[in-house]
Amino acid sequence: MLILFFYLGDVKYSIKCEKVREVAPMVTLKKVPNTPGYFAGLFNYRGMIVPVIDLCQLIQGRPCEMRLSTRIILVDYLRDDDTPYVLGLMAERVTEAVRKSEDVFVSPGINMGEAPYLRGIVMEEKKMIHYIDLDLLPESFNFLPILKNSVDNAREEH
Amino acid sequence: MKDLVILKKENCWKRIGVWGQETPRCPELKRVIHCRNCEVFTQAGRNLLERELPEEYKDEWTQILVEKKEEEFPGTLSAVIFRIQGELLALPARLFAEIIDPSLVHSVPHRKNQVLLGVTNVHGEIQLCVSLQRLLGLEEEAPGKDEGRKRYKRMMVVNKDGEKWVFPVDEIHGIYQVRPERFQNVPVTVAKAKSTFTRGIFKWDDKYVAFLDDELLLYTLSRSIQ
Repeated sequence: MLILFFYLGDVKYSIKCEKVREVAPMVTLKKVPNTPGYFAGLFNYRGMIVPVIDLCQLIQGRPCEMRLSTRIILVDYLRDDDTPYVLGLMAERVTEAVRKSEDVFVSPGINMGEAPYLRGIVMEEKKMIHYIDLDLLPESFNFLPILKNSVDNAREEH
Repeated sequence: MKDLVILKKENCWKRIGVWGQETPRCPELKRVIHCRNCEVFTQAGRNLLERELPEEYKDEWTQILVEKKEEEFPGTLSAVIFRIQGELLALPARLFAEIIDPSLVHSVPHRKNQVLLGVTNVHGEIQLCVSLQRLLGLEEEAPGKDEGRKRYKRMMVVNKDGEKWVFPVDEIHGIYQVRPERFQNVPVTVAKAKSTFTRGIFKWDDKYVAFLDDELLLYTLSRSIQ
């Protein structure tokens, strides 16, 4: 399967490409007040309002550096009522995708508590790379209901 | 420390690698065969992406991502549209090596040929410069007729099976996607040399563009030069 690598600071992370719709260059984001720091803002993605999460801020506690290699990974999700929903994940040095077999994913078997999406590890040439579980990622954004409201509000403004 | 190593090896692919002539050759070449498989080369490319994000780039992409994605139709051709005198012509974009500013053409002694203009210098390499206008039998426009039109003389460098040809043209309009259903047949009544080289015509901006048959064109060219 195809795995996308990126960096948050000096640490390499990976995600599965199955749900990735597109990797887009950095765009101008519409800031939303009174939201957590890792919520970078909204942007118009082909007519859809897409919220963007700053993974650097979420995991490292500092915003992504604005470089040419800083990109937005657009991930497909489904809402409760099965309507499609796209979430943008901003990360640094999104430059590499590789094919790996399923068995490179290993679980260290620890309870991550605050960050359940960081549970897995990908082994590459004896190195360990964090694996972010995209299915578990939105669960930790407790502001998602708020986010849905703000998406609606943004629509009404336009 | 790692940065230092890369700095020292900077441009190594142009010195001791596949794009260079210096000896001794890079010892890594035995292992990786080509520089593009080498970690140093990859890293240098990646470093280019570590530049600051320009605001204009961000704005441009914000605009691009707002638009709906255009669906690509099967059989869509990319063509470079250019103008010679009053005629709009097109060639497949994949043939093009580059578009350059007009440079000096040196005529070749003892080579009196209607089509061959001479040789020209493209990045230090000597390439044959050929007049498409004469090959296609396009008439010189009467002076003053093109006054309203801007003149952006360019030279097209076309690459076919390793052979390069340079064609001076009056204007390059750019690369356009042409859907197959927009092609029309060439009217049979047109009995000029041009029509034999035309594979089809398509409409672009209310004007008709002749899509040239590159196979025949370049075959005829190499025949006429020999």
